Amino acid sequence: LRREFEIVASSFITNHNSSNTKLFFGDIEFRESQSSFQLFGVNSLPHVRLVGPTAKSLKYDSDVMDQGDFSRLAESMAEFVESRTKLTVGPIHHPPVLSKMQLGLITALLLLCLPLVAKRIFAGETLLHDPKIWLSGAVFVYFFSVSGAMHNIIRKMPMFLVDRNDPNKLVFFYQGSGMQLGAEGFAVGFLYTVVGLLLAVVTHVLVYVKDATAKRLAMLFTLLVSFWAVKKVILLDNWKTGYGIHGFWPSSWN
Amino acid sequence: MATMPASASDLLKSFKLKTKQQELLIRVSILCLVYILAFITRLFSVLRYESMIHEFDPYFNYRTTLYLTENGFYDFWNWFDYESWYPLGRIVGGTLYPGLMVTAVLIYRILRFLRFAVHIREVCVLTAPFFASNTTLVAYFFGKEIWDSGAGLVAAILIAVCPGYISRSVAGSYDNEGVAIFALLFTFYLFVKAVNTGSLAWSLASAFGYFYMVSAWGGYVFIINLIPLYVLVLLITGRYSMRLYVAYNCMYILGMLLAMQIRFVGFQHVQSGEHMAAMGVFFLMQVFYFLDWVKHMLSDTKLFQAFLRITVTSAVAVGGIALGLGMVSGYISPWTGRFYSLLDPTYAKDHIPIIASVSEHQPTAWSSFMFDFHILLFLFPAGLYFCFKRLSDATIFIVMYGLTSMYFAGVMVRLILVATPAVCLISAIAVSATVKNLTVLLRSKNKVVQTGSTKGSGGSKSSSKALLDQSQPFQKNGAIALLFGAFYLLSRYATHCTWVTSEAYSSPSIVLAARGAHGNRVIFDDYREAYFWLRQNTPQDAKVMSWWDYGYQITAMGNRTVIVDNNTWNNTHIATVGRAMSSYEDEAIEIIRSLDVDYVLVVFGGVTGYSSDDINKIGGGVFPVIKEPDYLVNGEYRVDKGAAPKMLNCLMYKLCYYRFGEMMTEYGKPPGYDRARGVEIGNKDVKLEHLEEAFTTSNWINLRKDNASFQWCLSLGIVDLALATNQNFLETELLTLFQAT
Repeated sequence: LRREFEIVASSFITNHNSSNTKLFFGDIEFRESQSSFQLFGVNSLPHVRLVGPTAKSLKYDSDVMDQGDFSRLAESMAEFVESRTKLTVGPIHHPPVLSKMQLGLITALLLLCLPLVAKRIFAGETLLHDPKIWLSGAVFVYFFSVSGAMHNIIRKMPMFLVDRNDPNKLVFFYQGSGMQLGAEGFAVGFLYTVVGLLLAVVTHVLVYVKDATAKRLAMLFTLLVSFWAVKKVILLDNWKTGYGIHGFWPSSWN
Repeated sequence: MATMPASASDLLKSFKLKTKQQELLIRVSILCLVYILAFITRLFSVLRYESMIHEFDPYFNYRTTLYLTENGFYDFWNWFDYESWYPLGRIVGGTLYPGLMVTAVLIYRILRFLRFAVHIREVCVLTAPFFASNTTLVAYFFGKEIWDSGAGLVAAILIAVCPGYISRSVAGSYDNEGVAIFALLFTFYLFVKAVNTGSLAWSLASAFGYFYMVSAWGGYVFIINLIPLYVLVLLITGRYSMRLYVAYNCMYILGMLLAMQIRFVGFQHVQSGEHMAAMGVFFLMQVFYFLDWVKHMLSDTKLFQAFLRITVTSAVAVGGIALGLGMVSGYISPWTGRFYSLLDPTYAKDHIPIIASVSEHQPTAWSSFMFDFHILLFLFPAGLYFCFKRLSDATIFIVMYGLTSMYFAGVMVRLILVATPAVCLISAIAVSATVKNLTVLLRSKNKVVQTGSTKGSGGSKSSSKALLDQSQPFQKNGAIALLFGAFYLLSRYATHCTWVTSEAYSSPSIVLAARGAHGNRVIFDDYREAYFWLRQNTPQDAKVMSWWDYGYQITAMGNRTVIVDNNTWNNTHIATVGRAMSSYEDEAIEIIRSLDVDYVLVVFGGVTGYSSDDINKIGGGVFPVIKEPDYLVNGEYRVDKGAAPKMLNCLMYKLCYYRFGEMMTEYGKPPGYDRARGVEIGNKDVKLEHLEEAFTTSNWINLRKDNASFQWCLSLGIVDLALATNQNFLETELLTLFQAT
């Protein structure tokens, strides 16, 4: 979030050609200036606040930006500024995804690899010809979709949240259906995929092991782990959504 | 006497079936049971309430079906509806997909011919479950085509109860998807069969299947992009064959010609960017065929290689230039917003708020996947693995269908529906292969080389071949344990599906139920009460203004002209209504009078936040005079004393809370306590100058459900104020408030 704030600040400056001094951006570090935090009455982070020119008390007369608005990051901060101060921030200049240095490096690497890759393609031996690559690609697509990673990307959900009541604790799992956090998605996706991976291991790798006891142990291990993984996912799902799924028995049986 | 036992045992022997006949009997009976199961599991809401049409969109479909039965196909196809989108009207014949209506009317005519005196409404209500049952049959044949008949049976069972499909095909949900999923799977099955057999008959059948799909749903774009992608993959992996050539060519050309018969689609197959992939692959196929023929004619391989390189490069170049020319000159239109937002998911949020606001279009969290698929999610990667082990044209297809549909399901919740058949099929392969291996193990008698099998109770594994294992009894026990595990797992799946169907997906949304104080069930029929009041107490040419969610229902049940409805094809018109709702009463009355409105319908829901965003954002998108920050306090919507002044005096607020200040809604709280928002309202003394209250429905009890499937209609049902503006007519309709009990 801090980086987005910097982007807004630098865009404002570049758009107004450093001539407009009506608005300035600052940030406060908790460890260095705890008393300033108290002055503003800040309870939780992240926290963005606008102090107007007519404000007498820092705590009560300043406008706080709502947590829910952070989802669109730089754009929403710019809107917040514009709506409260009637000053325009102008278009936001996002830094490019890859800096020029990185881009140059990548191009150089690609050029170096090109002849080697071309030779292997013509020989018919590249990675692309191996079905295992496609299988892992397929499993990756599945993992990506099912863990709700798309949801996290579109909504720009954080990896974890700080617990509101206890700032030292981190909340990894969001309780409530329809929304999820970043780490949560990865955890669940991992649990799904581990079951499939164990299947592949058992079917292919285990066959070549000679020792019967080792084979049996491995299979037992697979059974237990997959059982645990499924149980975990179902428990997590029940906790998250709060549904009590039950069968319907005839009421005369109760 | 001695002959009697002989003849008795002979008699019994003659009844004993051969193994093949036994197998056929088992399969047919399973299919019959699954067919019936798929139908009856969708009947919860009919049994609980009554046989009526649910939600909003189906009412439009019902109205058009009524029109079709009364006036015949020619009038229907050329129908101009002047009762909706007043004063613009709507060209119905050219803006809808007729498949659903024509199907329902066909079934109705057949039943009438057989002298069953049914009403068209019953046919409409039960169309979706009927086609769901047909889908299970198609899934069986598809599974048989891909793997074997065991997989087909499991696929039929899984898809019969899968919640992802049930959500859009319950009885009463008379919407395009109910028929479209059947058409989708049917088309795919016919095409895969055509590719496998190479027969012209199957290819033509798949073209007609595609035509049915195009007539049924806008999602046909998925088919016309997936099949070319599949053909491309086959070409790249070197599986080009004459069968593929015949299948794709027939299907594409004939399908395209047939699809152009639907006016809504028109010439899109040759003009729209979304359909260009199919055309590109079509030409590529011709190039491949040409090269194959040249190879056949030439005997010199070196010459052929050179020729190959030249041809492929020039073909690709020519294709690229043609596409570029088409896009630059504007003949080929770029991807429309609806489908473009699937490729670039962040596009809709920033550019098209109307699309981004529908709750069905939100990205999917993993709990939604779990809710709709349950253990199929675990079986899916196992099935993927099996398919990769036995790669054939058919399994490549199902893998591609599964992966693309899962990706799109991750982008948009609504598309879980499209992914459901693929997930069911692939999981069925996993289940069937595993169970087969386990039972083979159980039935093996002292064979030297045995197949061991492992299976996690939570997942399914394939068998692994083990050499000479001495501990045979343990293996048998293990196999039995694992089979029980599989059985347990599938029964948990069935329980989950039934619970989900009963609790989450069987609500008609037009009739609501809640638990009263003593646990008895209370039914709110306010919507229908209101619409019938409109129908019976207002003049025939009265015009009703409301938020667009209720448009279809007002025209279908109230039989009155509306200003905007769910078709949302004219953003400016909707923005005008939004502007009227959000302005002060004096400005609003100008707009209302200019639109010739007699009545304004308001639904006073308690679920704020979502729809009020829409009204402001959509209104503000077209009319800059509406600024969302004017209604906000610290970034949130409030209705109590601290609310923004514009909010307290806008038309919607005044109509909603008219005389609400006198109501005692909850014991111990002051009058005018809004139970949904948990605050006492700010402006209790609402005076209306130009509008009068005409009618209020009776219920103030509150009900809220957290289910994702409900959110779209409850949360959108915020506030539509119903006010009649002309002379002394005032009608305010306050329907139910929604809140947690």
